[in-house]
Amino acid sequence: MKPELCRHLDDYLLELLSNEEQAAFKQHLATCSNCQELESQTRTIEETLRSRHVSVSPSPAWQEQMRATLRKSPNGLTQANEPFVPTRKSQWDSRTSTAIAFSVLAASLLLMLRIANQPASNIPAQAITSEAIQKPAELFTPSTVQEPPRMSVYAATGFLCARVEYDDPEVEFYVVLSSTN
Amino acid sequence: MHDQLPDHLLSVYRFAMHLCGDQHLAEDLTQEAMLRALRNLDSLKDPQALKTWLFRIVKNLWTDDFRAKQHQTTCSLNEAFSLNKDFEGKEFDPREIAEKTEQVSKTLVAMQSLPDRQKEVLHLIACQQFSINEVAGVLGISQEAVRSSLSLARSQMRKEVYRQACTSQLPNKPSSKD
Repeated sequence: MKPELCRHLDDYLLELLSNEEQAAFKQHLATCSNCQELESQTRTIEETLRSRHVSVSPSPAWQEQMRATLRKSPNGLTQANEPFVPTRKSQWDSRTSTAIAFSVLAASLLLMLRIANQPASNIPAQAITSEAIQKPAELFTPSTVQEPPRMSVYAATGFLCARVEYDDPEVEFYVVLSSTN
Repeated sequence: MHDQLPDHLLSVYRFAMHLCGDQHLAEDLTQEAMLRALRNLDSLKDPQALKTWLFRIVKNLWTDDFRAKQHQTTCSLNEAFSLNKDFEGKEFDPREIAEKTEQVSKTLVAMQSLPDRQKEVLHLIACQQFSINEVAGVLGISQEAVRSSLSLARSQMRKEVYRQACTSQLPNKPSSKD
């Protein structure tokens, strides 16, 4: 018995050995009782699995229906909307994508509604300069003048601004929220 | 290639059955895989790889979409209990049937104890007669990983099946009443 040959049993069963190696292993097998036993057990197990495998069949009606479908031209089937990807999907769940898309859409709609509710202003976008910010009352018409927290939103052509006021009347500033162009 | 698809229907179904263990789920899985293949047949460049490609679609569908529908794989045990179907219409000695049934049950129970990867490799090699290269293609792993999984699976199966055989041949313990 040559123990170094015993480890080639799997390759021998898979017929992965070269002709010379296959012949050498057969000679070894004839004399090695351990390999003979392992080979016999493996063949019995796999033959049992194979015999069970071939006895597994779908219902004849389903088979017939599937064969009829497969005989149709591929053009007769509805084309898949998504491109075919024969690899596994990423962990990025489609529900997450949908949720994000809806969130972005809802935020956009909200912003558009707020802009649409503002009274139209004739002030062009170019009018928002440092001078305009210093004299907001002359340039913008506040749509909603709120009491504390004292934040007002202004709309001008092309821009949406917010004015933030603090207790100190000297401290106030403007934030350009969005460009609507 | 379009004409060859029906030829693979049965083997694809059996692979699906091996994965999910439920006849109806296996039919759904096979149907979905075959229809996807039919719609996307143009994307397959090598006609020789059709079978591997089909099996890979089944495997990916199972992993991504269908596995969640099945809480537990009961394939092999269910198969074991329906074994008598093999003997329908044939004349067999009842003792032969009993022995055969026992052998199959032991083998299937042993297979259930294997990790999923080893089970799939063993099924594709032993039942579907795939080569190492084809199994690697279906499962998306290296040939070395296939050989390693196969070797472990065979070793574990021999241990389980023949340990069970030895156990079943042990004489019963005498009861305390004797």
